Amino acid sequence: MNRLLSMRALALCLTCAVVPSLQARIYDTINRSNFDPLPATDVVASDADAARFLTQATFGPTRAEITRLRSLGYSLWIDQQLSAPPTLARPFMDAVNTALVAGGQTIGHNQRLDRWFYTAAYAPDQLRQRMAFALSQIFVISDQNGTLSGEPIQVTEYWDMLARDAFINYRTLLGDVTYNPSMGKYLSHFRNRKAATGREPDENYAREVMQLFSIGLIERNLNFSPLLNAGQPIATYDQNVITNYAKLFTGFNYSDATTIFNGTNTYLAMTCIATEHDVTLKTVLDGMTIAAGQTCAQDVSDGLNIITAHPNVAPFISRQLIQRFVGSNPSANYIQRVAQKFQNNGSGERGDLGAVIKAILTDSEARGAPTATSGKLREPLLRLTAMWRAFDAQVPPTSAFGEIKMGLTNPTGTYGQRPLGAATVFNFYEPDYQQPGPIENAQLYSPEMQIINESTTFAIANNLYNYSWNSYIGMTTPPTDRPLLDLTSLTSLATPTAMVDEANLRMMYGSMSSNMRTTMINMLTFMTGASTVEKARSLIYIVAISPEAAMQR
Amino acid sequence: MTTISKNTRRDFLRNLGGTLCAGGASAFLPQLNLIGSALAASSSPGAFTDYRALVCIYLAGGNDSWNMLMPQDATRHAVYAAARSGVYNATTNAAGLAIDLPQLTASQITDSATGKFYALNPGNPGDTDVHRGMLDLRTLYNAGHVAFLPNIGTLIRPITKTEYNSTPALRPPQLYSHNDQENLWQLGQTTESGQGWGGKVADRVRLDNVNQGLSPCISIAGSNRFQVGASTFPYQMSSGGVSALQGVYNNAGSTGGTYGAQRAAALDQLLGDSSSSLLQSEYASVFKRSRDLYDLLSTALAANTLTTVFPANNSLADQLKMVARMIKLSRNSAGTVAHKRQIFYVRFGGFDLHDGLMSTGNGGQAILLQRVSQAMSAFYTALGEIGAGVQNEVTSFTMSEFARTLASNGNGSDHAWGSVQMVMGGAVNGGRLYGTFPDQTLNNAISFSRGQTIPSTSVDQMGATLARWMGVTDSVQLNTIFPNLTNFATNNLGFMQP
Repeated sequence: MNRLLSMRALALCLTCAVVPSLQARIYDTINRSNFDPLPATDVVASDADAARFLTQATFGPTRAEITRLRSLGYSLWIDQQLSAPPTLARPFMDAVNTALVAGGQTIGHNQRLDRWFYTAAYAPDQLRQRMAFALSQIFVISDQNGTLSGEPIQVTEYWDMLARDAFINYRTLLGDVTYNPSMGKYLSHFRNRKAATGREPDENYAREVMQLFSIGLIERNLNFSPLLNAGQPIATYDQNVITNYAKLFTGFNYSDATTIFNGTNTYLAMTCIATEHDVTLKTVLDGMTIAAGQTCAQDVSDGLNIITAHPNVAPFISRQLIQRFVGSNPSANYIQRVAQKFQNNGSGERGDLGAVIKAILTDSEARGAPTATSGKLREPLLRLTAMWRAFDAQVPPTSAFGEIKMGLTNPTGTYGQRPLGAATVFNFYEPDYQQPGPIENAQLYSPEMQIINESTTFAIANNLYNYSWNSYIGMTTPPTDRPLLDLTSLTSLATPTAMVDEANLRMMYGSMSSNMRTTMINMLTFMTGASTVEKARSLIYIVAISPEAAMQR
Repeated sequence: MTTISKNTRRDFLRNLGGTLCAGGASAFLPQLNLIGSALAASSSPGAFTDYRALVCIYLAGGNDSWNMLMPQDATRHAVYAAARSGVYNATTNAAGLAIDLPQLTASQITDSATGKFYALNPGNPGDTDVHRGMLDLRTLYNAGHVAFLPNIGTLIRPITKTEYNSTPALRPPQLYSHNDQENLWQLGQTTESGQGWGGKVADRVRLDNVNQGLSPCISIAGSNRFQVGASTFPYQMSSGGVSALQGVYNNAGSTGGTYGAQRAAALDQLLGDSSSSLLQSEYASVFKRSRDLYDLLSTALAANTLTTVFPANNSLADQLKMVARMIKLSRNSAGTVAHKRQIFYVRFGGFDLHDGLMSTGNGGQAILLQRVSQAMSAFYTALGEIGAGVQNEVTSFTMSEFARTLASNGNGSDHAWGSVQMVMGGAVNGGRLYGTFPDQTLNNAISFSRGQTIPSTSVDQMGATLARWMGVTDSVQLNTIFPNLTNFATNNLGFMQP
């Protein structure tokens, strides 16, 4: 309780501090027709503002959530989400598996993905699940790896761990990730053994825990800009540090193992087999040493503490989280404000991820008027979940085994994304990806653009077509393996203008340009003789695949 | 919607000029702001009367190429086996990464340059299939169509172990990191750049391509730096080809149902709207390009099929089959594409085998390399089906971010540096190695304690040799594409016929 109160107080301070820069930005902004200036309070000024916030913070705004957010205000809404219990998937998977096994079948990743889409579309802990999705794109494991392709329940537990830890301390999360057996298998520190004749410790986890999960390759300032020495970036570590950290991550095995070879396959946190752990002295980051002769637990704790204490962690993690929720190109000041919150949540705690996400979502740059460089391409999968939520999609029927089919078992093929299923540990796209051409020339980043191309623009559009045009309540022989859109919010309206304005609020938080609005009204007007259902389906489809709706700003 | 008519090169240049004057943007060529310099550097129009293509086969994750090409004489094999922690045996030496000498008999090859014996990955023990392991590529090697580059990697300039230890600035940046080393392989330079050497070659050889609406660089594997040039951006398609956009008018054969025309009109209007956001503009531009090229390619692909059987359940084979079909339709000078120079990019992953390198399952290296071998062999056969001499017109080569440590980590290998790469084609002077196969003793004069090998040949030298074959013969141009090239003894490794 104390923590929440102090966080609230801090949020107020933050608002005070940003007023001057915000005003400067407002003076610079032109063509703003749909947004009011951000009030220096917590009030959500309009349904459109609420929907924009929910586009950043959830799997898509719903009418009900817009109403709730407006009554609560941003801060209380976030606080409620921070304390909302996680919607867990693994217990569900266990129950379905039991039923399937009784029926002579086994569970697979299809059920895991169905559950993921169901949670995204319907779970109440939206911010927590979005945070888990963001964290899953930093602390990557993948069922595309042979070690995890047959382990849907263990991979599901990894997701639940991210959801449970979504707002916890970063160091705790890093420890849970390190000891998770699915991570152990994916980055191969599971059953990694200390050196012996003809064998050195596996360097995989040692490298990626630093390159991707914590500090990155070069030293950075709090605002993410590179520290320079004679004009050159400074490497955070070299191969010797990797080799030493590889020694640290030795000895891990299943929770009940007594040797490096035995143990029962489980999702429980790994144990460390003392006799297989390298106890020699280790020289790690910045020349710091970890003493010889310690226990495995002490070694790992020291090693992760040293990584966590590195000043890069705050900007490195903060910037990626901003990119997942708000924008591909946060200003240096925005990164720094969030990184400061990472450094100190206001109560002296460093690494409070709940405070970090609150700082990200309430920052003036997230709440202020969009600029030419603000915002991001929506993650492709979130375009689908947002469409379901925008039109209150009806839950599909439950199978005899308790499964709820959502229809997408190979989202990579269409959306280029698969929860806990990236092609490599580098995720679906990289935070530093710059689309060649105008974006790169402007020195901007565009992570999601890495999976957008001639082929995927069509594939995404065609999937959105199938999940809107061919999946709505009231159609003849509707599919039973996916949510059905409720078109009544549009079909109950009499004019093309009213329909377009409603779609604008539900799908684009009122941000539709006047050009696009005219185009959409004309389209409906020119559909001479079409039914309202035909018009509603056409409208949803074309808005869903439009460049404006592919963005969030 | 607009469709691409068959433009002449003159039209292309004129259109470019008009666009440049107007300061506008084109959906076809997203980097027009840079086109001026590219045109200045281009080959003379009409320079190319023949068709030539490069196919980059990217082996993602860091292929452990020390088990792709192994010394097969007893002396050197013993050194290899010792460095790899002994011969692998699931029960008696699970940490070993070496393949036993007797197992290499069937996949033996001879380096015609030195007379020394090597072997390709023989596949899984006990497998008797005639296409197992890399036997298909062995056949092509013995026919003179495959060459190996035995210790190639990213380099700023040749570097000794002493220099490596004393002068970090001489090391390529971020050695051992997947994405950074992949970038260096693709860029052809060791400083940051948005452009890759394939794209820069394409900038210089694309002007004789008749239909400029289709990029000379075609990726079947998504975005990559390799194919990006100053005026070239890859067209990205899937191994399944192109699919119609649902619910909207595409062409007379795909009208999008009732009101499809209204929906198409609205969509195309939206794709043409300008935006202050570059991200949004780029999204619209890519989507529009897909609309514009759909008609051309759906028609052309339907008319250009192949009967060559490609291996099933092999994503690299699927990609290479689409490359072969694109080559078939593109090289036809009477067709709707009529290209003279093309560069393709395909990608095959799973090589980051810190664990399970010696696994006999689908994730193990033997099966991965078997898929590479079978896919490349089928591709070579398919080129023969397209026409006489087409095998001589297409050169395929592998890249991978690094090879791996010779020493074992228990059941796999870790990131290293110098690697073995392959070149395949009728115009390849094959049947031999180009460069020195490294001494595989751990921690020798050219390697570190775990058998990370310092490359003796640069990526740039391989790239320049291929670029020259594609028509970039001018040294000044080669040195522009590969800024470090002058640091090396030669810019022509000799593995290509003129």
